[in-house]
Amino acid sequence: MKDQPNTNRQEVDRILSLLAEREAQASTLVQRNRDLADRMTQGLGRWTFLRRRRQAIVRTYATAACLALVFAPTLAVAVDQPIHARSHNMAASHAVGIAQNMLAV
Amino acid sequence: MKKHYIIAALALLLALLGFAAWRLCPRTLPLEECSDLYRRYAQVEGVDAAFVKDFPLGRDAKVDVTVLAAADSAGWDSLLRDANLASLPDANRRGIWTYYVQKDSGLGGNPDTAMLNNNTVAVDFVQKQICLFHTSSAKDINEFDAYMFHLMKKNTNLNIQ
Repeated sequence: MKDQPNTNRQEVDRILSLLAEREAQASTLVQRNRDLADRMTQGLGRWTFLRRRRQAIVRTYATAACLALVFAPTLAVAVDQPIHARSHNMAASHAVGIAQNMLAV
Repeated sequence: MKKHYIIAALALLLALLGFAAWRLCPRTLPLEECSDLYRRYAQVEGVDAAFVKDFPLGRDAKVDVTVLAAADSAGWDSLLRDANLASLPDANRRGIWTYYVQKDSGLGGNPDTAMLNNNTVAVDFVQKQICLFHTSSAKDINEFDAYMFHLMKKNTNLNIQ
């Protein structure tokens, strides 16, 4: 029974050191989890950004293509008359309009 | 993102301009292929001039046209003097006048008795414009007359067999 206090103290020390060790391990684990969560958030954010940018680029070029589809036939019709013209201070199309008016009366 | 819109807009503009240039450039005549009348008035102050080659009359027929439009009253007076119409009474200056002139005689001059050597001039006193249709060949005159007849029929609903 003489050794009892020493044995108890040793046991307490051992438990305390075990607790400290576990606390350190838990702290490291928490830090690793935080790092992992941060990296995941960053990755997800970047992916979302890239996806939005890609969508915007596709939208931009699709708009341009639609505009081209709208204007190209108009332009084609406008210049598709078999008329060779030269004009001074007057648009050639205006001259053609004048000639058409003269005949239409 | 703005950068992409600018690039797309520039590409679209370039494509449309290229297409227009490709189609329009061959349609601009060199000066030597234009009529003497156009060349005479091309640089005259107060008169806007244009020469149209192969102006369509209906589906197949074509005729060359010189168009002269007065930009101001001085230009119009000058055009009327050249067409020998300056002394025309105001009462007669209505609507559109049509008359014939000999080939190579400009806007004025007497019609050729042979008719086939004549151009057709139309004068619009209201709009202050003159058109000279280069109909100085048998084919052109026939096509021009046929087209005018077609228009007259169409506009008046005449039922002529």
